[in-house]
Amino acid sequence: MSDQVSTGDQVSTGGEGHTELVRAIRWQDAFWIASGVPALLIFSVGYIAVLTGPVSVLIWVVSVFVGLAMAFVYAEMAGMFPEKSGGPPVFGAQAWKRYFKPIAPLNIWGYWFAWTPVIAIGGLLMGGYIQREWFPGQTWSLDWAPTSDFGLHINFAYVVGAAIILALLWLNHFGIKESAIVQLVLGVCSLVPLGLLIIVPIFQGKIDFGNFTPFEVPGASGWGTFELVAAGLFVAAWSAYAFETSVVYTAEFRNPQRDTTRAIFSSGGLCIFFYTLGPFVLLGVVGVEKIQEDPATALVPLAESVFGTSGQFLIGLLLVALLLSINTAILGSSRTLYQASKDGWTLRFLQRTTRRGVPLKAMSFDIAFNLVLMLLGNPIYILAASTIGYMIFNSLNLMAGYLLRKDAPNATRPYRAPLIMIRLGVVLAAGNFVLLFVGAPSWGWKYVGLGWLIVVAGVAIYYYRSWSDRRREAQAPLMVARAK
Amino acid sequence: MSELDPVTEVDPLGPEQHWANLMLMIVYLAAVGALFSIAAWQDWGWAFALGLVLTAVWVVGFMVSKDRPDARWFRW
Repeated sequence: MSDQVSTGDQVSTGGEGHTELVRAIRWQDAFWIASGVPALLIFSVGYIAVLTGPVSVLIWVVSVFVGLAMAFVYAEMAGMFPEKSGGPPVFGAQAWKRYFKPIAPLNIWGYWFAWTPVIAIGGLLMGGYIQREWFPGQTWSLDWAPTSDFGLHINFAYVVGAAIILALLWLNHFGIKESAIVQLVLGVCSLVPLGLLIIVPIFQGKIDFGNFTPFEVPGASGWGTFELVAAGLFVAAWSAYAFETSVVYTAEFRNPQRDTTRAIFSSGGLCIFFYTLGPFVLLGVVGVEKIQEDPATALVPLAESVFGTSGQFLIGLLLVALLLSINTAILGSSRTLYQASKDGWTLRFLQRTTRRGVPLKAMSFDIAFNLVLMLLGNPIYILAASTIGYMIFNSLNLMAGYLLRKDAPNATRPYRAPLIMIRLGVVLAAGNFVLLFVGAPSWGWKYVGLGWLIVVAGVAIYYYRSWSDRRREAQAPLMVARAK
Repeated sequence: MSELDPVTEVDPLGPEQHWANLMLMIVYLAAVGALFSIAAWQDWGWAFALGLVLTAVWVVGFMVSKDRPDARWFRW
């Protein structure tokens, strides 16, 4: 710990107090921080299987390979901005501010709103599992519901989830290096059993290929099939593209030019394993009918089939995996807020860091937002709303990658993606754009509206920040004169 | 770079300049998005098909452009 404090002592304070991160990690640390991404499969694999049946297996394969293709563009962009934290939207904003400025905060805020609800959803799921397994009698609930399908709820699951999130906030205030060690421990503890859950049934010969026939979307035809496949791809993207989070830490890499590409492609490799085989094994062993009984806990019947009915072990596995995902989101989304603030895209106070170089204000804001979001309950719909932000970001950011190559061809690029991948990025931007508008409505118009509302709020906050900065500049000479 | 180095930022793209105005393109995309939304709301197959065609037109318009930034977007 002492080295971290001394690191913090090197940090310049400036007019805003501490506002700098420190270069304390390597690509392996970022890999472990991002190792919560495979566990995001747990959040929606059951719902997508119910929605699209056997076709869901193909949806996940397509989704993770699209994520890998996009990683080429994001890796190039990350290398161009080795001093910037916050991930791909921060790099994309550097391009968009030169074409149409409001798009830059839209891009960043969309990304932040995609990642931050992992904290709320994970917290609610963890609280729910703990209540069902160890405190079944704790069924009290304080509710305020103005309509039949919308309300705010505080219950035992909320309280437990909130306590876990606050504990993680405390753990992360020590520094990025310590956070990476926590993630390594959680990653090994959850990914090894999760990996076994996928591999063992294949060797046990438990895959029933009859579960994949007929290979079609149940109950749909024509444009209805198109809509449901788009809805599946839309929500799958939220998990399967998410390994791009490994380049969020570019400004904290000891050697950003080398570490960014290694971090994103190693994380991508890990995700290809989990996202191609995981849904295939789940459907092959369990089948759609069984998953339909409770899509939120779709992995439980799979685990029972593989490991027997050791309920405590299963719950333990799920809890560690969820903890890993929540921490990945806390670390990543706080960096996005921090850098957005530093670049003038959002509220000024979020750029403050501690003496150890931790963006604690941004992290605390993140946690506070999620404690409010958790009041809504219903994780899958929070996820659908947040995917609106993610698809806006992915569309805009891939365009930014192309524009940067076109208009800044001579800028330094430690990693230069093949031209075909940059061009393919534009096609994928179009694909994500279609999913944004065709796929989202299947999850409910109300949540589509909520997603857009929160993302567009980011643009309003940007205009407030610009106004506030102008006022500050205008007042600066006056303040100096008064001080004299 | 060592752990003791604080992060200092230099914009590799140079001073902030307006490279081109893509507002028209964003308006176009918003209109296509609205078309897709109506198609999903009303289950209009023709609107889905038209939306896909207009999206493909955007891809071509975005990529087939001259080297000058101000020549981009439907002016190729």
